[in-house]
Amino acid sequence: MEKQKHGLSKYTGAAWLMILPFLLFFVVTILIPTLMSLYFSFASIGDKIDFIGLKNFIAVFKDPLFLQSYANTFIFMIGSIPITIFLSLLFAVLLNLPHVHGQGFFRTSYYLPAVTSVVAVASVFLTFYNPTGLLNNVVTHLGGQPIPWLTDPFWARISIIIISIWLNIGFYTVMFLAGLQNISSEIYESAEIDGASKMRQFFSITIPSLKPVILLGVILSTINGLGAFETPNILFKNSYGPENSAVTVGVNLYKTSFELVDYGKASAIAWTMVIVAVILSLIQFKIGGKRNDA
Amino acid sequence: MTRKHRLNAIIVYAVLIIGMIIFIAPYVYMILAATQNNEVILGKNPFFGFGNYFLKNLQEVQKDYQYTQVLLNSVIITVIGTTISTVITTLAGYVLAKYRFRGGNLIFYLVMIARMVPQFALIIPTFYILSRMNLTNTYTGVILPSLASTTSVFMMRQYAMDFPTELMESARIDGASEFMIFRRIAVPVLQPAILTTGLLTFMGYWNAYLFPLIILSDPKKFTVPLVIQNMTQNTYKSLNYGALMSVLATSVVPIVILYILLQRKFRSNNVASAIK
Amino acid sequence: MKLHRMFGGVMAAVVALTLAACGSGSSNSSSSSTPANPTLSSKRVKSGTLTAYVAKGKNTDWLKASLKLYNKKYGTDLKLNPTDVAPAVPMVQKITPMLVAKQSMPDLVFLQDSNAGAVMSKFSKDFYSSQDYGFVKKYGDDFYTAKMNYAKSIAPDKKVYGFPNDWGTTVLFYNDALFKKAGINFADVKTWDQMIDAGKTLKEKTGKNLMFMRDTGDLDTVKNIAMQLGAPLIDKNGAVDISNPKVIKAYSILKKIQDANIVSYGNMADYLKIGQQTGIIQAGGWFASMQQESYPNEKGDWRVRALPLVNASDKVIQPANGGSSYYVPKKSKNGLAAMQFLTFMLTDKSSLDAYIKLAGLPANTTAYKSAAANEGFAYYGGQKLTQEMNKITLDSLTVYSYPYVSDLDTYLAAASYDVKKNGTAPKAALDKQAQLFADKYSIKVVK
Repeated sequence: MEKQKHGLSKYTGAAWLMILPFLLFFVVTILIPTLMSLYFSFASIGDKIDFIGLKNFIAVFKDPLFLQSYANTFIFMIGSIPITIFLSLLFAVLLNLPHVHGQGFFRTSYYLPAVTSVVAVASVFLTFYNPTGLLNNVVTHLGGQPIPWLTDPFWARISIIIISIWLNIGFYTVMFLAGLQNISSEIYESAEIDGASKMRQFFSITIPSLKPVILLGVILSTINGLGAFETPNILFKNSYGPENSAVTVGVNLYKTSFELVDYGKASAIAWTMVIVAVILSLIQFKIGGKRNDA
Repeated sequence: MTRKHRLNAIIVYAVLIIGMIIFIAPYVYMILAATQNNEVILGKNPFFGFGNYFLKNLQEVQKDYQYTQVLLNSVIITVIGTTISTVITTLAGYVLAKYRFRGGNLIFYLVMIARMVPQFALIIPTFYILSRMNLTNTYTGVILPSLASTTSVFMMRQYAMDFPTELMESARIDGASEFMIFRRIAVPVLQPAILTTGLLTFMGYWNAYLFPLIILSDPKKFTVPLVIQNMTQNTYKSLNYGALMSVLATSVVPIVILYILLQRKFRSNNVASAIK
Repeated sequence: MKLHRMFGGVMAAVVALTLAACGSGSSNSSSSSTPANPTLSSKRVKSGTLTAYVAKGKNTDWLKASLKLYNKKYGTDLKLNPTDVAPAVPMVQKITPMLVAKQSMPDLVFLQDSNAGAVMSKFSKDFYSSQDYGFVKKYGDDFYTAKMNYAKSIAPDKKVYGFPNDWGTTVLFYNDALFKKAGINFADVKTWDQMIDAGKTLKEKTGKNLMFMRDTGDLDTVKNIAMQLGAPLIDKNGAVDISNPKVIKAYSILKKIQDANIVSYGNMADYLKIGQQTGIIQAGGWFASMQQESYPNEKGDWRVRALPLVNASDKVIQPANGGSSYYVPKKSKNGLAAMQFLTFMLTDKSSLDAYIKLAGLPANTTAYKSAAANEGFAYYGGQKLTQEMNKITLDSLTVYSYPYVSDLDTYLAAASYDVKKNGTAPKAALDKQAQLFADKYSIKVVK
C-alpha cells in the first residue's frame, strides 16, 4: 500500500486536473448548498433568516412521529434490501449465462421500472392494491381471502416493500450485470481448467468480485430508503397509513417542508438523516472489508 | 444436450419470463389506457384491448401543454446534462479510485456525505445560488444542480477500483500521459460501468421534477414531469386519464429506445478484451 | 505541485466569488411602478404585463376573460402572462424558494386557503395586504362571512393579505334516479338517521351502497358531521379541539352507518370513481363540473343539496370545505396594477358572471344575484345549481387557519381507524390523537 502511494504521487497534478471540472460544480451546486442547509437547520426561515440555535432539533425530537418514522424506515429497508439484492443477483447471473437467448429483451423489461418515475409506478400500483383490484382478483381466483393491502398495518408495510423491490430490482440487476461483465473470463477459464464446479466458481469468484458492487447497492439502497417518500405519499394520500405504519423519515421531511413550510425544522430532520446514513455507511464499509476502504 | 441441461434451461427461462411479466404489466396497462377515454378507464369493467382515443389524447396534451415543445425541452436538458455529467463524474470516480493524492480522501468523504443529504434540504439553498447567478428560468439552471452527481462519482469509483493498476503502469512505461491512459485504456474497459451510470443520470434528468419546478417559470421551457404533475395535481380541471397515460407512455419510450440502443455496447467490452 | 497550488487558489476564488454574489443580495430588485403604500385611490396603472402563477383551467380562464373586460372598462392596456403551477403543494414548492432568495416574484399568486396559513406564517411581510390596500373595508361585507373570518385568521398579525377568490362548503350530490328506483324521494330525507334508513332500502332494492368511505379510516363523514354541529376542530386560539362531545356524537353516527353495511370502502384516489357507483357523494361544489365531464351518461340522474341534519331541529351550519385567494407579492413588477385588476375582477358584476359561466363559485355573494347564477343545469335535471350552492354556503361554519390545520386530517383519520379496527372508544382514540398532534406542534389541547 505504502509503496503504491509513493509510486503514484508524482501524478498528483494530472489527478487534480482530471477531477477539477467535477470539483467546480460540486462545490458550487452541492457543497455550498449543503453547508447552507446545515446552517438552515439552526435557523428559522421566513421573510428573515434568524439563527435560533438548537430549537429546530428540539422540536424534531419532541415530535412523537419522528421516532416512529425512523422505525418504519428501517422496517422497510430490512424488508426490501435483502430480497432486492438476492433477486437482482439471481436475474443478473441468469442473464449472464452464455447460452441464454433474448438477454437484451429480458434486461430491458427488467430495467423499465428503474427508468420510470416513482410517481407513475406508485399510481399504477395504487389501482392494483384496490380492495377489488388486480391483486385481490388474483388472490381470490387462487382460492384465498382478499388481502387488506392498504388498511392493515402489516399489509400496508408489505405493499410499500413490494413496490420498493419492484422498482429497484432492474437497477441492481443491471448494476450487477455490469459488475459481472467486468470479471475477466480468463479467471473462469482457469478455474474451469482447475476443475472447479460452477457452484464453486460462483461462490469463490463471482460473489467476491461483485462484493464492491453489492456493497455499493446496499449503501445506495439505505440512503435512498431513508429519503423515500413518494410511494407512501401516493398510497396513503395525506395520511400516515394505518396506525402510522407508512410514515417514513422522507414523508415527515416532505410534510414539514411543503405543508408546514418550516424549512428550518425540515433541514434539522434532513441532517438527522445525514447522521444516520453516515453511521450506517461506516458500518457497512467495515463489514464490506478493508479492500473497499481504500 | 442432456436432459439435465434442458431442464436447467427450462427453469432459467421460466424464472426470466415470470420476472418479465411482473415488470412489464404496469406498462402494458399504461399503453392500453393511453388509447382509451375516461369512460372506459373509470368504468367498472376491466379493459384488455386498444381503444381509438390515442390520437385524440395526444392532441389534447399538445393543445393544452404544447407537448412537442415540452418533449424537446426535456430532450435538450437531458442530453446536455447527461453528457457533461457523465464525462466529469467518470473522470472524478476514476481519479478517486486510482490516484493517491493529498485531499483525495477528503474529497471522497465530502462526496459521500453530500450524497446523504436529501434533495428536499438542498432546494432552497440551490435556488438561492442560482438566482444570484441569474440562472433561474433557464435550461442551464435546470442542468447545473445535477451535473456533479455524487451517486455517479461514488458508483464510478466503486467500479474503477477493479480496473487493473498493472494496465496503467505498463502504459506509463510505454510513455502514455495520464489523460491518454484514461482516454485509451480506462474508458474502453469501464464502458459498461460508464453506460450504467450514464443511463442513471439520463433517467435522473428525464424524470426530475423538483428542480425544473422551482427553476422554470416560463411554460415554454417546461419539461415532461412538470406536465405530469400539472395534470395530476390540478384539482381545477378534470383529469383525462387517457391523456395522462399517453404522456406517461411517451415519457418512458425514449429511455427504452436509448437503452435498447446501448444494449449491445454493454456486452462488447470487458477487461479481457482490453488486455488482449 | 504547482498545479496543486494553482488549484487551491482557483477553489478559494470560486468559493469567495459565490459567497460574495450570494451576500450582495439586491441583484434583481423590481423596477416597480408601485408606490410604497398603494391604496384603492392610487392612480390607475395603464399598461404592463401581469405575470400570474395559477393552475390551468377555470381560474386561468377567468383571469383572461376578466382582464379583457377590465381593459375595455378603463381603457388600459394590461396583458396577462400565466404560468401553469398546480395548486396546493406544488405552488408552495414553487414560491417559497423565491421568497427565501428574495427573488423578483410574479404579480399574482393563486394560493389555496389551506396552504396560505403555512406560507403566511413565515412570509406575510413579503406580500401586500388587501386590508391595507382598502379592499377589505370597501368590499369585505360582500363576501361570505366565513370566508372573511378565515382570511383574518391566516397571517400572524391577523391582518387580511389575500384577495378572496372562492369559498365552498361540502354539499351532497345524490343519485336521484337511483333512489327513485328504490322508491325513495331523497328530497324528503332530513336527518342522517333518515339517510341511513334510505341507504338500507337502497341496498335492499338495488344492491348499491349508500356512500364511499376511506378504507384507511373515515375522515370526511366525521369531519362534516362535527362541523355541522359547530365544532371547528382547531379553535380560535389554535388549540386542538377534537375530543369534544360534538365530535364524539359524529362518531356515533359514523358507527351507525358502518354497522348498516351500506358503505363502499376504497382508497382516497378512487373516491369519486367509487362514489359514482353509490347513492351519495359528499364533495365541494367543484365536483359538479368534474362529474359532468367524467360521467356524461348519467345526465339527469344526479341532484345537489345540503347535507342532512343531525337532528331535524338543529340550527343549520354547513361544513367549510375551503377556498382560495390571490396574493400579490411586494417584489413584483406590477403590484399596484395587479391589485387594481383583482379589485375589479373580484367585485365587478360582468367579471363575476364570467366566473360563474366557467363553473366557478366566487366568494363574493353579490355574484349570485345575476341571471347567470340562476341558470338551470341540464345534467342536474334543470336544477339551479349555482344558486343552490350559494344558499348552502351562506350557512358555512367559521373555521380558523393555522399552519398545521391541514395535518389534523391525518390524526382524525388515525382516530377513526383506531375506533373501527380495534374497537377503541371514540373518546379515548380522540384524546390520544389530540395529544400526539399537540406534542408534534407544541400546541394546547382543549379538554
